[in-house]
Amino acid sequence: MKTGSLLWLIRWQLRLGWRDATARTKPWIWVVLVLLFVLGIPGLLYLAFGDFAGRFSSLNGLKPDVGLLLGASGGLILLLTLMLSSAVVGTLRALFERGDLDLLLSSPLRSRTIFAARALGVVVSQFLGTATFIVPIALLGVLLGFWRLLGILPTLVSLSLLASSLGILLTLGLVRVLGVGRARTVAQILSALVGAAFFLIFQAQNILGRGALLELASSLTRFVNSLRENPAFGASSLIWYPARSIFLEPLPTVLFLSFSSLIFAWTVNFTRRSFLRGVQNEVKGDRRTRASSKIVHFSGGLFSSLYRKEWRSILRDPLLISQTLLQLLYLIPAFFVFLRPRGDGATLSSGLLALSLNAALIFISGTLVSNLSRIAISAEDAPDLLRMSPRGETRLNTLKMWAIVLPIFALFALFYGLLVWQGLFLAFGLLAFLGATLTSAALELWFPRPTPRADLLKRGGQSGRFWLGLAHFLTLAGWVGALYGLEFRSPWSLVGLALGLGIPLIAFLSSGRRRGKFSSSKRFSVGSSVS
Amino acid sequence: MTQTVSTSLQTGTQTPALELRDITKRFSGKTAVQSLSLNIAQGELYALLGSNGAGKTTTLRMIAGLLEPDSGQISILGHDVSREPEQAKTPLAYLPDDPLLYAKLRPMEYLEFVAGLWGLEPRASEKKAQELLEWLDLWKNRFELTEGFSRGMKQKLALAGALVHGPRLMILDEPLTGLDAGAARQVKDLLVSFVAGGGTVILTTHILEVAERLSSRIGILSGGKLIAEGTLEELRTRSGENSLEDVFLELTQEASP
Repeated sequence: MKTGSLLWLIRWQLRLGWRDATARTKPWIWVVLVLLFVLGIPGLLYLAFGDFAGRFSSLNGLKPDVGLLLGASGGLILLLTLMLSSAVVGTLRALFERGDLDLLLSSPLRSRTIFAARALGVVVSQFLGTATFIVPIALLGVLLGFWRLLGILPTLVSLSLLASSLGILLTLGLVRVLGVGRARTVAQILSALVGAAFFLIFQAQNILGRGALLELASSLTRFVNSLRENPAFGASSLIWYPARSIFLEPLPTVLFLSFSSLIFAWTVNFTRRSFLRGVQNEVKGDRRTRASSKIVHFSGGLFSSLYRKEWRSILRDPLLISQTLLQLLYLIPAFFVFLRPRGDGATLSSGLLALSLNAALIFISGTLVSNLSRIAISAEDAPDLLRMSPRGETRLNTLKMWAIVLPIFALFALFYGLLVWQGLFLAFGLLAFLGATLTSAALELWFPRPTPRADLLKRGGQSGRFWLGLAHFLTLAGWVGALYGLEFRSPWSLVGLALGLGIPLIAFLSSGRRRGKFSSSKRFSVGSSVS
Repeated sequence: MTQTVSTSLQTGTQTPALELRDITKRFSGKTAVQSLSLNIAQGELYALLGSNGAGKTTTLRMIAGLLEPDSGQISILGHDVSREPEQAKTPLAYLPDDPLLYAKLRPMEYLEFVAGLWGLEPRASEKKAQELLEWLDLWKNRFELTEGFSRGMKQKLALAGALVHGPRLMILDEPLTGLDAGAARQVKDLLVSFVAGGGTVILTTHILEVAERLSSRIGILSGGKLIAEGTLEELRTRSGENSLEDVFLELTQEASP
């Protein structure tokens, strides 16, 4: 391989990417996953649909109609949106955060080659990330004899090129206006919002109700019919070419691939020129931070100081909010279910509905408290400041726990108010909610895993938390189980209670043992070095 | 704010500001500090010098209660750090080389939090915080989040945090790192006035000129041991060299195996 060529650069990138991936997950796990994917999915598909093999070959001769093309185009747009948000994150890493671009640009390599290699890296990661979920569909098509679905693969290549190009252009714009740090925050929030939007789309029936959904379907049908009558949107229109490439129609496939490749080539050239002009130094927005002219008056009191400090730090961090408080968004569909008039497609009995809603509240509040306590206790920004203050670290962490839990109680009181109003309140549900939130916070208090806040959402920030995460999950599952057991007067409630109380108790006892066994020097030695 | 930083020093007391008795600390079998004893009187400015890895930061972290020694005893103004941590830490301010700040807080909010940790009366501490920010030229930045501050601004804010609770003993690890000439002069003036007001300062620095000009006594660490201690004159006499740089290099080379 010629040194300094495009392929040589891509090989270097792949090597770095592999090191990055194996730093978090052991290489053998990757090998097992790839084998499972390559052998397992075709095997499963054959087991499930083997009896229908080759029976749908007649579909290959059919021409897709406007309705199908509209649906396929909608799917492509959704996929493009998903890929775009991750392309922005990938571009930030490839162009601004890896830190070796200056080295490469100062070398005798052609800058066009460098940027082409970088951008292709983004394209490949988009393709691989999506292919995992899409390739089984193409495989199923081949199995059933509908081989035209193989067109999904070139379509995916075109989509990856387009999404990466748009992602790169969007990132350059964001970096120019906001700077690298905030551009990353915006990208992560966009990604979380897109995820939440998909969840809400899939929950459309719960949110809108079956009647509204049927009404939407009939308007869509009317829209498709009006398209059919309009010659500009006929099945042979250019607008449907991307969708037609899914069915491996030669001209649309070639044209869609050529169009996305051209856009990609133009983007690479534009990026190169932007970099050589110094896009990374052209931040237009105020690099300092948002200023607020609010006068601060000291409140006094240890709890009040801690409370204000914790919530100010959390609420001013949009990235943290997007990753933690966004969970509340997932509550929306659950509550639309019972805010809709009864009888409108409701399938659950009132008792089961009450139980499900109470269980959802327990799980979401517990997860929320667990995440927020982790931010406040384990990811303290200045742990040394607290340790050197006259108050003990344990006392400060206990106060932090209450600073987190009390506002969550207030927030969820609203949801419990709704339950009471709708006659869906369960006393055991409230007890399990209190147990779940308090034990979730206590787990973090008794078993903290110190992580710098800046690293909390970085890759690798989760390391060492597997067992704690499992303990959190089992504790919450225990409380939900206890609720079901108590409602049905089942002895299984005892198992749930044993989990919900037992796991935090083990954490407490082990934290006591750690305190006794090791001197505080062990606890303080995190990050300390000989100097 | 006036340039004099006053402390509520008890007059006539003989209690040392800091006393270290036979302190030893090991990390994974490697000795960081070995049988270290120090006695620093109130009103002294003591410079702790040493090469990289000599044990300076470990010593300061043990004094601040962030590390517990494997053996030995540390007392601050007569209070044992491990047995009476609250009394020992109340008069103490520790300023590490990496400032202990919160990226998402504004300067006054940070000082409010520190005041809360030390249990100060809100109105008086708010007034003092404002004076400190004005004096350190950070008042104009009071509405900005700390994350946008330069290294020097962060260092100055951490200094305000150390001073807001009126300490009697200040421990500073490389306090001039990242400061421009103006800010460095401000910090040096502050230390001199703090000591003049009865406070005690212990600092580490690689800038020997600072130790030479400011300190009343100097201790030199090498391999975790105190190899020399005294006034600048005493050290000069001992090594026969003129500048502190020559004295330091001579003594540390002598001590290295």
